[in-house]
Amino acid sequence: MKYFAAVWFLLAASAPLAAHHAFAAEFDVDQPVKVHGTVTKLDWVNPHAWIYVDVKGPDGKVVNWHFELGPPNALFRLGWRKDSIPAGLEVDITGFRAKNGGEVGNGRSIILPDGKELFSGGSGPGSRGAEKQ
Amino acid sequence: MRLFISLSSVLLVSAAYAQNLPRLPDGQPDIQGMYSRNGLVGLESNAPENPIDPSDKNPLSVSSRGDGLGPYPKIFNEGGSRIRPQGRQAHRTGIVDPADKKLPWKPEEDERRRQFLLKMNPPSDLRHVELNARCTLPGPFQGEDGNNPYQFLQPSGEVVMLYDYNHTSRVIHLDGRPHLPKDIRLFMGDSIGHWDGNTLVVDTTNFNGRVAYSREIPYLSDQLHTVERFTVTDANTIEYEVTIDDPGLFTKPWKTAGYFARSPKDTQSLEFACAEGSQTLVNIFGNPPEVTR
Repeated sequence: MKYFAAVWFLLAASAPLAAHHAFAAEFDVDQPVKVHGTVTKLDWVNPHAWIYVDVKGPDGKVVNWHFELGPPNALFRLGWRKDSIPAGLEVDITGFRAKNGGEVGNGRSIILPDGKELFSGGSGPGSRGAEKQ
Repeated sequence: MRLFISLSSVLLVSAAYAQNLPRLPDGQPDIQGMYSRNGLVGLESNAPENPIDPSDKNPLSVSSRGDGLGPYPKIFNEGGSRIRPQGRQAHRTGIVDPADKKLPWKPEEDERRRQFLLKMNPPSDLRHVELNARCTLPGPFQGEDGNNPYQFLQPSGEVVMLYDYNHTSRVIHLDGRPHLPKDIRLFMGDSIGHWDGNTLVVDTTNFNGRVAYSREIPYLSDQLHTVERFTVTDANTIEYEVTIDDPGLFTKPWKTAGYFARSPKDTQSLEFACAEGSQTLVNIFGNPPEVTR
């Protein structure tokens, strides 16, 4: 555990941010979004994993949103596995909306029913993700 | 002084390791395995204001928001994790020549790429969507180093560099053959190499002019010629330097450096179907017409 904590610290301290595509050409930093919904599927695909959630609006209509995540290798390195976020789980997701104005976003964090926040700066050394390794 | 001591230590370690390099039957030093590449692409000084997402070192980046609520959480860039270096090591990273990182642009080409960048957000057309977002092959520099590891294989007389990113590869021939004819143009170029002691020297030409160096340098010309030096310094580390000679854009060659660090043993290359897995074009331009099947 100490070994992985040390590695994680090195990464957190030194890793530059990069992604398969530039953020600003695709997503709008001025349109932060937060949705509460039920996970319908998690696609573990390169270059980005995608999480899909059914979100019920104030009018009762259900809309399927999807959010871009990191690539599968990144999720895997933090200890996540294919069944980590099963369909049917209720989650809150924060992110930034796509420029096409659809129900699509860049996912920043996922908050599980027990309050644990995934994929954010809070998933640091000692978090469940790191310990799984 | 501290830096001097660190570099001296590296040299001593390197010299000792070089004498005992494990070798393959064809005589090559054995470097096979999975690695992350680190530190290669650095910002030039006087970098242009990039309207898409510049690197985290650029204060204009939306990823560098002071409130900590930038769009990309820390989960990005951990797919290329590496094992802990053996002892303290210093690495040369980013643009190393010229020392002031001011690249020797032809003035008219510098202006042209600055104008090109201004048309990337919103993209005025498909040509102004960055190459990786269009799932083109990444060339030597855009293998998404933080997220995607590299694997070296060494069949007899060759070094094969497999990119996890976009599942591309480079076959580096060690048999002294000439480069391909000039009319054959490739994203990954044509690579001829040889071992000079514990350094693999690779000469690459025949690029197609559709290769980016960074988000601030969104294309290099088809006159690009690179000379890479992969220097094995210990069982887990390969120091890397590349000379970028592109007379189409620059008045003289310049150099950038980084290093490969061996990945943990359980690191795997995963399927990478870029065009199917990417939704970038839809998120920018909207849905294409429905396809009936």
